[in-house]
Amino acid sequence: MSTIGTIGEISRTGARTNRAAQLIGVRLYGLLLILVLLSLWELSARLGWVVSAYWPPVTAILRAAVGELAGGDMLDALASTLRRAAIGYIVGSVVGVVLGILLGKSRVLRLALLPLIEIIRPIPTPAVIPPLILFLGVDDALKIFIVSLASFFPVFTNTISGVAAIDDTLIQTARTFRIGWLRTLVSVVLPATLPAVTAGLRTATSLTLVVAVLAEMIAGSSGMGYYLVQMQYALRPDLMYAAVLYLAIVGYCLNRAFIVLEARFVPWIGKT
Amino acid sequence: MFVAMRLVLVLLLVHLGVAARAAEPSTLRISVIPTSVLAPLYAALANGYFKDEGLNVELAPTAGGAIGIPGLVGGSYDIAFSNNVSALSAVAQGIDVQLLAPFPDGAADETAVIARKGEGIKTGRDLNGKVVAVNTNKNVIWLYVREWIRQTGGDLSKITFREVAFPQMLDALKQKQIDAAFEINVFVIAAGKDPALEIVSFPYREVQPQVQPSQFVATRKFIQGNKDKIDRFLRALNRGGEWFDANIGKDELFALVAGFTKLPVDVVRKMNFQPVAKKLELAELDKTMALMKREGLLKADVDTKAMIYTP
Amino acid sequence: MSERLGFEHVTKVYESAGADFVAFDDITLEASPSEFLAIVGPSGCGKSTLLKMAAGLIPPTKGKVQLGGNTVSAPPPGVIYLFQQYAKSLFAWRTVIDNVMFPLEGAPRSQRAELRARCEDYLRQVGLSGFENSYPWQLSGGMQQRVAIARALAADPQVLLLDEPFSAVDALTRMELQTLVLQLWERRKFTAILVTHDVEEAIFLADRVAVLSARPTSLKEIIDVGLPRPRDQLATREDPRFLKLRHHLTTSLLAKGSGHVVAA
Repeated sequence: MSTIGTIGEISRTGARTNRAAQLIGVRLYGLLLILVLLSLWELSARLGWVVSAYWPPVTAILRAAVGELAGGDMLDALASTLRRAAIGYIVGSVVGVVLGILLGKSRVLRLALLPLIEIIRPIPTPAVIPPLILFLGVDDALKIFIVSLASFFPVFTNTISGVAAIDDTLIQTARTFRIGWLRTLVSVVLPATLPAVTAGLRTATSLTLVVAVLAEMIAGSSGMGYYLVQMQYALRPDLMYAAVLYLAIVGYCLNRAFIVLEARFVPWIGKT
Repeated sequence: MFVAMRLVLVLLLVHLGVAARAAEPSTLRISVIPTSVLAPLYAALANGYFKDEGLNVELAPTAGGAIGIPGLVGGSYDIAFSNNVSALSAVAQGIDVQLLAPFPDGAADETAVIARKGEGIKTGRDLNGKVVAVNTNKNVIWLYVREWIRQTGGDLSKITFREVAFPQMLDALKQKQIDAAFEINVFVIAAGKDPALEIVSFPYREVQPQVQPSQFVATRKFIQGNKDKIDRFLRALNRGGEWFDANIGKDELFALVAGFTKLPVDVVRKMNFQPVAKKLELAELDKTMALMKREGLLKADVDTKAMIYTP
Repeated sequence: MSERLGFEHVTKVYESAGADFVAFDDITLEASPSEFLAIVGPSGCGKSTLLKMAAGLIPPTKGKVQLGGNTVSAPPPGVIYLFQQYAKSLFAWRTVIDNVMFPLEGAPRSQRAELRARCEDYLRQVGLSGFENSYPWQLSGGMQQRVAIARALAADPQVLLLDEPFSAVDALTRMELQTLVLQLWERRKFTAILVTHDVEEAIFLADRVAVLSARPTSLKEIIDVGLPRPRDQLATREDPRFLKLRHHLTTSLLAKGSGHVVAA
């Protein structure tokens, strides 16, 4: 009996190491694929397979990216984009969670507000920028509003469906313990909705950066969006792609940070 | 309590600050596109001509030009860099704007039709059945390229217009996604260096030689309320134009233009800078209006005379 | 501490698509203080609804539920509900000890340490010492229901309502949980009302078993179990009286039709 157990354990550990090795292998192939594609890019630009002012070699882009670290407009542009994205994200998310819970809980509010929200939702951002300028001007207020609008929708829709999906048993449990509505909201409804809210926040995270850059491209005097367009017109594709690279890195880091924070603060996601 | 009072005080001050911006006697906020055309403006700024007039000019550069006139109406800008076609359309739609004249146009007309070399495209007739790229439909560029095609024997009903952003036009040409493109100056220079491409025509020059498409625009309401400020602005701007004329071909001008456009200096050196125009001719504005009516951009005449503000 | 809980002429009618649907009709049934009452009936007869009325979660259409001397109209203090879906009744974002502490969180801060020690003792009583800081979803189904039981104890129940609490766990765990509930009941002497479709479970746990008929549900009969306590999973189940009761109840549940038959 014990012998069988031991053999079982050995083979299980063996399988685990095998699997880990396999995963590392797959990961290496993934990296290799990226390297091959980048090399192809470099060669195509260097050897003239692709002739365009907008196809600089990868090494030129990397040089530009590193050069900007020592001082230049790009990091300032990145900082101002991130500032707008962060403010818009926070505003949009808070409003999304609050409205999502209110509308999820109140049928009256749902009937009163949901049609309006559903009408606004499919409007593409670039289409609303010119009329919005009349009310919000062209500065931060406009861009922050657009970003908050973009982050509002995923957070709101996830929250409202999260509230709707709360199991009755959970609410009834709180009721049998004679918990008041406020405490039920704070200690039961809110945490029970949190996994759905988190999913919305995650979608919003990747959207905000995109929308902030987009708004700056259309109506920006600063930020990465303006920088990208300016560099196109200034015939500096190396700086343009370097900006894209920085945006990609920031986007990737935000996503990773989100995953870490999610595991730390909402460990029960997918567990109920 | 003390903290709360201080907070209220700060909010009040901030609020007053915002309210005061419109009434601020010395500040002008201007929407611009960082193009070499605006060299006189940047020269006036760099040389302190606005300061000499007691003006504090704030530039708000945007990459496209689409938000200039909406920004004026919304009060975000006092003056916007725009063009005669947009201004005429705005007036026709009841937005009461005026052109600030004279506008010192700081770059020669370098806006050109580009095609692939060796395909024999010389006139509008050669474009029949082809695809022509413009940056935006129904804007100033679209209007003039269509007029050029019409005047050189092309049949507009046989030509497809496609919207392509300026920086992408040359690549689109080389990949044969389009057959001709109406490009702006820096890309015209790039096309001139490219062995696969050639410059076919300068439509502005051929269609309406005296036209000045680029213009500074402000609402009539703002101009009437700030006549003195606008006059001082135009005085300083024209000093910038004089500096520009005096520095054509000199390193100072190349450095200035390279500085605000972020263009490499060797590209700037190839630009064909010409002395600035000094006068906005009513007849030229009327000609543009006639073109617009013909293309259906305007339904009725606009009072062009009332559209021009001169100190 | 325990209370008398009585259903007096309780009727529940649901309106659906204009037509009235009678869930059950005129049920009168009472659990004496400290009694262990089981209610068995075919599935879909509305057993759980009856229990939710006792908990004040659903109002009856006619008749009333009496607790002590008062009519139940909202969840009354001291009546605790043990749900069949224990996983959905536990708070996934709270640790085991914080789940058990939940009913006590209205208490003043100064009593916190003492209450926590008490809750740790409840966890010990249900055999979960050492799992205080685990999360419910890290535990097996049986362990999760133990957490729910410890939480019920923390609320100091006078009446414990058990809604098929062991139906979702495996047979062996079920027996362990049955024994645990009996031990706690004997120690704390609360009134217990168990709803189940498992005849053997009802006989094993209860003093009396009420049998409900199929829809429209009415009370078919009430039998006294009369088996000696403390009960034992082997000895009690092998007792000839147990087998006889099982035979009788199973026959009664399988028989179609209703009507009151009073067992001897």
